Amino acid sequence: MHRYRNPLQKNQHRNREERDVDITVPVNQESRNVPQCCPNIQQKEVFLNTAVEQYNSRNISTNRLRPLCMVALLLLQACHSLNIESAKTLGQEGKNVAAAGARHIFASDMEFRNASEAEVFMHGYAGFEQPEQILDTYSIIMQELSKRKIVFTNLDEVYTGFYELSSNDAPARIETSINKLGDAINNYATVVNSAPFQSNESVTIAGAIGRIAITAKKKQLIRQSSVLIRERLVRLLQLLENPLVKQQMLTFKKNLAQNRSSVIQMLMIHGLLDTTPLLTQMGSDAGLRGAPDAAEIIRKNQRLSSSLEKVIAYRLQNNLLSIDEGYDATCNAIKELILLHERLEQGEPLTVATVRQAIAELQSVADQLNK
Amino acid sequence: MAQKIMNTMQTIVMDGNLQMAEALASFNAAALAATAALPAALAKCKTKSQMQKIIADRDICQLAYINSLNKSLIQTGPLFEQIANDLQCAAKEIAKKSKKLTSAADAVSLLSEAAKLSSSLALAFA
Repeated sequence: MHRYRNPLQKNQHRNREERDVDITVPVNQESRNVPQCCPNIQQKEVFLNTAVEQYNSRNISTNRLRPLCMVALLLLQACHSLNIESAKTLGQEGKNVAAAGARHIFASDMEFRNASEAEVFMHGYAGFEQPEQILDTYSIIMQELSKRKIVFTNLDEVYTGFYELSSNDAPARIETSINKLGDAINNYATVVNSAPFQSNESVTIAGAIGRIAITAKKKQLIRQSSVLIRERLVRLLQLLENPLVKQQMLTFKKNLAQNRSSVIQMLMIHGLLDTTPLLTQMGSDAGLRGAPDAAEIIRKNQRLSSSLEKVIAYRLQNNLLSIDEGYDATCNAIKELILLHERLEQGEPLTVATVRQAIAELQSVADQLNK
Repeated sequence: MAQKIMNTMQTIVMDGNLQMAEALASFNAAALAATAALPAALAKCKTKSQMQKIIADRDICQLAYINSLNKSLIQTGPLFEQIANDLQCAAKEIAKKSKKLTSAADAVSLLSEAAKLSSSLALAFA
């Protein structure tokens, strides 16, 4: 025989004696699953005791479960110190580097077209027909180099996947799903007039364990992906720093830029370009702009036109230097990404300030070239 | 005596240290200089034949550069292809990992939907 204190009625008795009266029942009572609407008082008592017994046993199992969960939590946390938010940030910065790098390493279609037209202009000016041999070879080179852009397209894709993996909401979803599963099973038990399968607390703990387990798995997958990306970045950097590759990319861009620069100077010599925007830029510090008849004045004044030609030559020369800067800035940005991946894999905190600075440099070079 | 002189005579080609990258840089430097000098040189020309001579001389440098660049691309093209393929494989691998996580959550979600459905059916048939 077991003696139970009936917690269901603890506040309903007038005095202590009444409250402390235990309800006793034979342990081997068969009618454990008696529904609540029992006409017989004795059966009701049996049912209440069964409910009490179950409540107590669940309480005990939950109490045992809690320390186990804490241990599991601690173990899982210890194994996976990788920061998921840092991984997301790294994914985003990687995409930025991929986009900016492609612009600086490869000549754009606009650059190529303008340079080809410059070739046609220079030959036409001297009375030649179109320089077919130069234009055809230019096209072959441009096609071949454009194919290589796919490297940066694929790099962008890799980082998109990495960002999506880091942003994956599976841990939160699995916790919700486990909680819902527990509730659904308990509801089912209620419908079929059975006792609830689990307490709400157990369901919540199970959901938390599920979330933590999936989070640990997610961190493991992020770390593996980071290693994959880092290895490829190292090889990409080695390729870009290969002297022959560097010269191929840089010299082609510079060759196209020089064509365009020479045609600009030829057009200037003949007074076909309006220098007013340049004057406006020079006066921008004081909030001034070029006068409407500035072009006419410059044309008539040899010293003024000669000075402005020198400014334009200086600016075009700087554009050529910027091509080198853009290439080096891209390589530096890739180096920063490699460092960030290493830190992420080692569970160290990430500061993306350096890679953002590298991206800002790339943007600044691009702005200069696009002026 | 003539032999000794020949042995000590060296040209840039026999230097031995000239690599393809440096050769490309040299060709480009010549082409850039020739193109940069065009505006001033053409402005000084008085006849069409003078202008054509200047353009033709410049084209020699330009063609030397772009032909050598074109030939050199064969050396490095496969390296880029390799990296592009590796990156593509990495992207697929990462997408697979993401799917694994999503599948685990989806599986439990399906189970809970199934349990909900069961209790609805049990209620309907109770």
